[in-house]
Amino acid sequence: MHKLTMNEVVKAIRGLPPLPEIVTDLLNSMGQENIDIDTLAEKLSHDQTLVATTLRLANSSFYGMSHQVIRIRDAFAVLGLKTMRMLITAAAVANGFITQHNNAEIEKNWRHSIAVAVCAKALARQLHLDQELAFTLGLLHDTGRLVLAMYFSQQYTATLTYRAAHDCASFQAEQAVLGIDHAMVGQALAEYWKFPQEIQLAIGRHHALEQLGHSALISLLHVADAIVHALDLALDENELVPPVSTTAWNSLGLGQEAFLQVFGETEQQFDEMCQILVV
Amino acid sequence: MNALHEHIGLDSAVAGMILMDNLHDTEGTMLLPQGTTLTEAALICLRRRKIESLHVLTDAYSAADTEAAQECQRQRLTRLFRAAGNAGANGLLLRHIMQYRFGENHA
Repeated sequence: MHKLTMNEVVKAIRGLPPLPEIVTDLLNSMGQENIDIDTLAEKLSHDQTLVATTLRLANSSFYGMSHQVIRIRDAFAVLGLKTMRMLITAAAVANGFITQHNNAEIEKNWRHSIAVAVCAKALARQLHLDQELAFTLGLLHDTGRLVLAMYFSQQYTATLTYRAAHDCASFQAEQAVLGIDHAMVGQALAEYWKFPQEIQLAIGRHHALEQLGHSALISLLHVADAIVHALDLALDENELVPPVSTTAWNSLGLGQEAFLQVFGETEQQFDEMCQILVV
Repeated sequence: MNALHEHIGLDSAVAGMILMDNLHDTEGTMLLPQGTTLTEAALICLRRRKIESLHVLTDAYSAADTEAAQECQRQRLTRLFRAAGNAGANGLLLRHIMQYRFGENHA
């Protein structure tokens, strides 16, 4: 089996459908609060599947709304721009990217991403960091693996075989078999989809232990990933907790009580998110 | 009161029950390992995989059975941390997870 080059990967990525325009707009508007909600709601209304999934998320018990919202405009009014941006992105990735290529392997990876998203958000809450950004990053951090599974299935299967034989983490199997790993592929996809620079970098570096500790966000993502493996949420018999960087762990500065809360929130919210986002 | 190890239909399974055997699909692929605590998401996944029945601890009234179930979960944790080990941050994560799963006296 020949190793994969980033050129081959980039070529495959260019064949992917672009993300809905509204998602690119939303991701690039992160950090801005003066967005015209009417224009957003109008754009969103052209994609009825996206509207339906977003409303199901908005009405999930997670947000504890006293009554059901049935219009996107009302959801914006009740939940605010930051939360809606997060929900629409999740709904768009689920609808556009995951459900059209469903198989057991992709579903397993997608469930892992949902778990890391809710865990990263819970960690960000404890750390007073941007919960929306943490959630979005968790959701998108392994999209590189989805690209490998969809477009290089033979090579991807070879990495699974290697992983089973060597009992190692998936990124180690990918590096050994393909010469590249899903973090690199994910970063290339994030560039193609014009994600904000901060998200591109965090996706590209989430397994690069030596580069951790410089960014609170990358450390948070790295620890969230390890927690999710340790909570055993992926329904994977060969589940393996990857070594956690002590530098990243210490940089968060959280005590046991905070972690116990994060574990509880993660398990609770994961179930509900999966029911909506795993089709 | 006896604890109940039961083979139950998937329709009777609820979140919180603990799996007492490894669960395989019809092709023999392992879906969930012994010791897993069932969640809503896991049950949905099993329905999709057309699983009909499973062997669970339905009611943990007996101390011996609770201990047996916890021992399954402990073994599973040891397996999960087989590469990470328990030095530095890995040990702290493992300790917090055990505290979360088993409470103060079992960490």
